[in-house]
Amino acid sequence: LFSADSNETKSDDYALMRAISARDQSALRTLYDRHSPLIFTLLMRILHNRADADELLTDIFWEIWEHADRFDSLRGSPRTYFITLARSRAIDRLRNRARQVPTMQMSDSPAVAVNNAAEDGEQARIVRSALDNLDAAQRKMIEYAFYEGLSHSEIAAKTQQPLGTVKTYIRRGLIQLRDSLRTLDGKSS
Amino acid sequence: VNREEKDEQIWLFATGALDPAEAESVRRLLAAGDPVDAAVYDDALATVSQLPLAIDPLSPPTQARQKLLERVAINSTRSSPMKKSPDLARWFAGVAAIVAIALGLISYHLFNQLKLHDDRAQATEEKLRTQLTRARSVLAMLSARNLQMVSLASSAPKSTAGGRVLWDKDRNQWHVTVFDLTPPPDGRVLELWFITADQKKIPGGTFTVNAQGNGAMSAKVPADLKNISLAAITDEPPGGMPQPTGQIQLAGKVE
Repeated sequence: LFSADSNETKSDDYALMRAISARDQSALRTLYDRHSPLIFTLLMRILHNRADADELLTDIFWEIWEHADRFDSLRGSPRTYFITLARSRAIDRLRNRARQVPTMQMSDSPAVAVNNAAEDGEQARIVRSALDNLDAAQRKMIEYAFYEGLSHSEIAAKTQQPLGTVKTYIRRGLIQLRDSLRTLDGKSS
Repeated sequence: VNREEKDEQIWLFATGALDPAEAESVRRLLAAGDPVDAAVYDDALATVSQLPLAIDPLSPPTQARQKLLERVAINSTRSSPMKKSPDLARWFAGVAAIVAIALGLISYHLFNQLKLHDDRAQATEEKLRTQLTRARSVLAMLSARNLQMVSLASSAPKSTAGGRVLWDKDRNQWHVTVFDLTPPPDGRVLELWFITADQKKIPGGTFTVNAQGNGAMSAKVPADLKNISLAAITDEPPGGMPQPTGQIQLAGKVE
């Protein structure tokens, strides 16, 4: 379901973003069809609410359409930009929702979906392999931060770990993840 | 803050794990534009953006796509300047009409101004051409080898009016200049007369003077005219008369 972020796809994504900047609606349709499954999956993972994810999915692509000029091709791929944008908007909504409904409980098992088997692209397999190489505590802390929007102090409180340990765990875990992705990506190509 | 601490903060920022105050601090750090910081941040973002790939994929609702495309289509229609609203279109049409009328009036005014300037320029050109012709004529006369001068004077008491006739005998032409002459009344002109010894009066042409009483004219002396003894200037009706009818304004004896 997810498209692999191959060099060819990356190249197409950059061209699509340029076309969207030029108000090409067909480019937006192509971009949506290519990336909406991944973004919607991320939104569902963060929000755990289909109605919110539906609405936010439209809003995010609307923002991409309206503010395509905000994308800086020198700072990363379009997909990285979409993921960053979607995560940021979803976390904002999660926090707003938490303020409006203080009794709402956050998911206590943010990693549930991660280890589920999935038959998507090669890139997804590589990412899962890289995550598997992480210490379970490291992986959980990264997911708390990325999917739940928890700060390191909140993660420290939640996991009852010292603040410094949480910081170090997250940073080392991400660097290890990066190195694993590079290694696995190199082997697969 | 050393390099390792900065890197740690940037990685945590990319993951979203910093408190708001710390996150703001990293935003300022990145805004400072250090290329090493930017590279660390880009590296961290590229890494964390891979995380969603590991989640079991879900299909987005079909209506979300439709909703988005409708929103884009509606917005594109609204942002079209002439379709934005009938009022706006009417406003543009009104402004365009006013501008067109204004341009028309300005063009008409400019055309008239140009025509007026052109008429004035033509009149000035004609006047200059006349003056040039006269000046050349005078110059030619002054350089004539056989030149005679006749002084003209007024018979009125205490009058300072006077004039001169330069007679170019080689070309048989008179050049007359007058000064301090009272301008003739409205509807009258001055006329030059060649008067022979036997009192024949032959008209030499008409002319006028300016407000100061100065004027000039040139006249061809008839080839068969002999024995000119007197030059006179009278006031006559416009176009002149075959014989003098008005008062003598100036006269001079031809030696």
